[in-house]
Amino acid sequence: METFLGGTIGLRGDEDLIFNDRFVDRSSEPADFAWRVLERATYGARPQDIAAFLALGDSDDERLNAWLDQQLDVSALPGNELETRLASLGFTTLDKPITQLWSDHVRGGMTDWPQRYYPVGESDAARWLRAVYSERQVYEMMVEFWHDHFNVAGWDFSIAPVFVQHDRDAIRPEALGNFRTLLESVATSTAMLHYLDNLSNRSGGYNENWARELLELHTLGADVYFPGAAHGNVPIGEDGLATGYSDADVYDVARCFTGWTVRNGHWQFPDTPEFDTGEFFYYANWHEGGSKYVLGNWLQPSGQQQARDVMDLLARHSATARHLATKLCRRFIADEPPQALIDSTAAVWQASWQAPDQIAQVMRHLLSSDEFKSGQGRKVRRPFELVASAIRKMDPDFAPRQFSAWTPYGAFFNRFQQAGHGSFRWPAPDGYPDTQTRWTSASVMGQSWRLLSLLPELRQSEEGPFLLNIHSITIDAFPDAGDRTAINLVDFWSARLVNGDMEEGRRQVAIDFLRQNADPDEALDLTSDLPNGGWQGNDLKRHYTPVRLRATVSLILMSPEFYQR
Amino acid sequence: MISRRDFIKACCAAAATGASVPGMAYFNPTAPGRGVGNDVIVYLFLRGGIDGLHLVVPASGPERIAYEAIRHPGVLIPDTDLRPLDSLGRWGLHPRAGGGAGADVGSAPQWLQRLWVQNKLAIVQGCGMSSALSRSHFDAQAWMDLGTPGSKNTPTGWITRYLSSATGLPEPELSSVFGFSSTLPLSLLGNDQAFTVNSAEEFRVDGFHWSWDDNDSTIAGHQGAPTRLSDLWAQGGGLLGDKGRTTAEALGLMRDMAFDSYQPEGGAEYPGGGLGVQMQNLAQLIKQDSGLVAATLDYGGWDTHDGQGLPQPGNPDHYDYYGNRLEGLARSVDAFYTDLSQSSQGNLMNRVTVVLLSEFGRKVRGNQSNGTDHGYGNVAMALGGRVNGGQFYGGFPGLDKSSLFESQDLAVTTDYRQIMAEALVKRMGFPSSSLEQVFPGMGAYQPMGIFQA
Repeated sequence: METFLGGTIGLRGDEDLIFNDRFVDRSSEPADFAWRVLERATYGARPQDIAAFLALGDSDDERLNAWLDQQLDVSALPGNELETRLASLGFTTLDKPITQLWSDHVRGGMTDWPQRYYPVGESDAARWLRAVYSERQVYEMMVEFWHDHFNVAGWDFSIAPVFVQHDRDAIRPEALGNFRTLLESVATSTAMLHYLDNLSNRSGGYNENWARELLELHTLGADVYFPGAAHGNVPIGEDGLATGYSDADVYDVARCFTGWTVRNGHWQFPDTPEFDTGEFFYYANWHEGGSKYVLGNWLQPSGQQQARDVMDLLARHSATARHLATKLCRRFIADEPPQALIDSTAAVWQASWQAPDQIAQVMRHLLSSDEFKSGQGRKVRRPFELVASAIRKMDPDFAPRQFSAWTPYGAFFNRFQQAGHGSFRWPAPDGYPDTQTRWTSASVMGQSWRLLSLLPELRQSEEGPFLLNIHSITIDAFPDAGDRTAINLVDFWSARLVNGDMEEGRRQVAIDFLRQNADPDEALDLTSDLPNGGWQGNDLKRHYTPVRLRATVSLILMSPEFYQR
Repeated sequence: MISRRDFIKACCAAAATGASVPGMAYFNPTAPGRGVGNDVIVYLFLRGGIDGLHLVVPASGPERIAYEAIRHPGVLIPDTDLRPLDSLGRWGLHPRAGGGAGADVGSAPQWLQRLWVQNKLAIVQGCGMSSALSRSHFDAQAWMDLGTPGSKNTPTGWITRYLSSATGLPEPELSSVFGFSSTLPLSLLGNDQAFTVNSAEEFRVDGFHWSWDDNDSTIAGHQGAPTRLSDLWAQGGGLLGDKGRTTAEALGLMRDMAFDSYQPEGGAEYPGGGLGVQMQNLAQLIKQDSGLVAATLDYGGWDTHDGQGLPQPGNPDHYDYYGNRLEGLARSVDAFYTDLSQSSQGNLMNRVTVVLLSEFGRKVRGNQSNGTDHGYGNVAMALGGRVNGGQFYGGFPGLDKSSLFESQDLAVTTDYRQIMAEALVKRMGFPSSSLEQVFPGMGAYQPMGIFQA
């Protein structure tokens, strides 16, 4: 499929393409437009997704708008297949309230591996299922974004047993909702209170860790940090707020958050069971009274309300809008997104800061922008997107479990973690990076390929069915055995995985590997009773041919076209 | 040695002219490397907080009296069960650092004790973070790995900053730094080029069905799927194209290095699995002279709150958790030293320095579970051909109550960064004037004489 049609593009030009000058799909075909949208706003465009998108209207814009209507109103989308699969896996921790997570996995002697880690392990498994099966694709992409933005080290000893609450109650409810609401749900997440130490932040024993990251990473951003302990160094803006923050702001914000802690049986709490439940609570005895000066404003003494006042200031601040707009544009458009788009996105962000659907409004703006509609090939897929997309596109029977006796998922999770992107495993508070240099090292790429080479070989059980249905998809697509030539098979899988956009030399590499000594248009035997074709002497075209088809699909997955979106 | 890139070029050129390429074994461990011969620093972290007072133990004198007075019997090693360290008999070594469970304390020194006797192993007492206190594993490890005690939010690890501020580093064939870990070590945070592998033999596209997973020389013309990766990435510009080619090249190079059929030299015997395999991989990379400058390794399992274990030298059937862990460490390190120092390329340990650290020591007293809880000051060790070994450094902080930190922990008398700083300056040729870039806020450089310049 030749898709290079020239024409204008919303970004600065071809020089910021990450790969080459050919992989620019500017086709005006509706299916190609659908492909471009779905590849970048979801975990992978499946044939049925393209078909559904094309049925939504009479023009690209109409279809995109209708699709965004669905995606940005999560309650309108069915969750049937996903829910069935989640239920079938028998997870035991995902519905536990925080008090039960605490009693079952922190207290109660459950200090050993793996019991203590079930909550984070099951959250990890569920994350994969959602990316692969959920109809709520934009929503799940945003959940991933917020997990990075409000990162906690999920597999830390203290955080693992309560991680379910962070994912389920802090991140997910507002992933397309309101940032101010999200901020408070994160500030009261037991995992975050542990991770950035605010649980021990108290009058006379300050811990500034949460306060500093709240300003630097979660809201205003380091761009507006004025080092030094004097408030007066920071100019006041037209809105009456300081345009940035100093160390003095950090200290005062930390003081506002004193007493925001966890019922964890601390010796200074009353020695009764209700102070050892794992829940967030505001402990007035630990709160430092008095006024505080934050972002050029005096905050009057108000107990717990004082930290809420801080979050109000942060949520409406223009620096927060710019910081978040930049990160969102980077996630969905390009590593260095155009400034005009950042500005317009920030404006939508700030104007809607009190709207319950603020984040959905911002995403609608971003995903219907010209830059989004025309740009492709400017982001590398991080390993999670890479692998989730590969699975999603192959009609999988995918049921990840951790900590079981033997399952194919042991090797799966092990190899995935080696690729450097294990779920909830980033140790630093800034979350997994989102620029190409971090994800194109030989270590990351090599380990990703290592997993992609194994993926089509994974089976439900020894000699059981494969997780990916490469064989049956192929047979269904070519019911006439005479059509199963190397050229047809490679073009079919190239169309399905990369919209047929494989560079010609690369396509030929795949064809040559698949055909071996067969002619390119000679049919290959994919239906031997042995799963792998059996031993055929030196006749390489008959040497384990179904296996060779799976390896060929892996090679397409390891191609540059699949590595970007 | 020809680089793989040159090798590929030569093959292409030969193919173009019709000339034949002589068969060559790509990696021959007994051949000298590229002739760079750079020094290598190895950061071996004992995760979990090793009980240093269980490794290097007062054997006589006032510290022994204080030790016996304060130490819970469940974690108190009798002086007769220690291997001797110094001529005065003041200090003893846990017996499993110098011999197997069945060996008695007077048997010929092996492993760490052997290296100490041969003056290749130095011991630093009272080591830790003098400027900051945390008894959280997560915080304390993060602080040390990042090189910023008191702050775990530093965006770069100390090794990352060392590599980015050092000048004149050799051009690496693969990477200047290897992190032997399943996730990016914090000491390498912010380094895009670091190689992170659990073991080098796992850096290999090896998931295809066996029938196409590798070349099969018994079948004419058979070439496995991994051989297609270079061709697959041959076309295409931009950063991704370059990176993909580098990756394909590295995979080929690592495959050629045949990590699984490596033969150690000098009769070295690496323990199987985990650290043993990683140290063997590292020795091979060093012999390859691949431009590797730094490596990180982890050896965990030291969080001995419960049933820490006591040795019973001479009794091979006695179970001693700590002793078993320690023997695994001692054997791995010893095999690494032997393999490199006895290499046919020469004594390669003369350009390799290993520093062994842990995030904190443990409570001196011990607890009711025959274990020890999180403490503060600890032992650190340095190993290498250019280490002034067989000596103690740093000064023992003392076990009497007034010397203990918060009346319960060994104090910290030596900032661990001073050890790393001295290794960087003396062994890696790093200018002491630039240490602030690697360890901001460390203060004045105070070498102790552990390393030879």
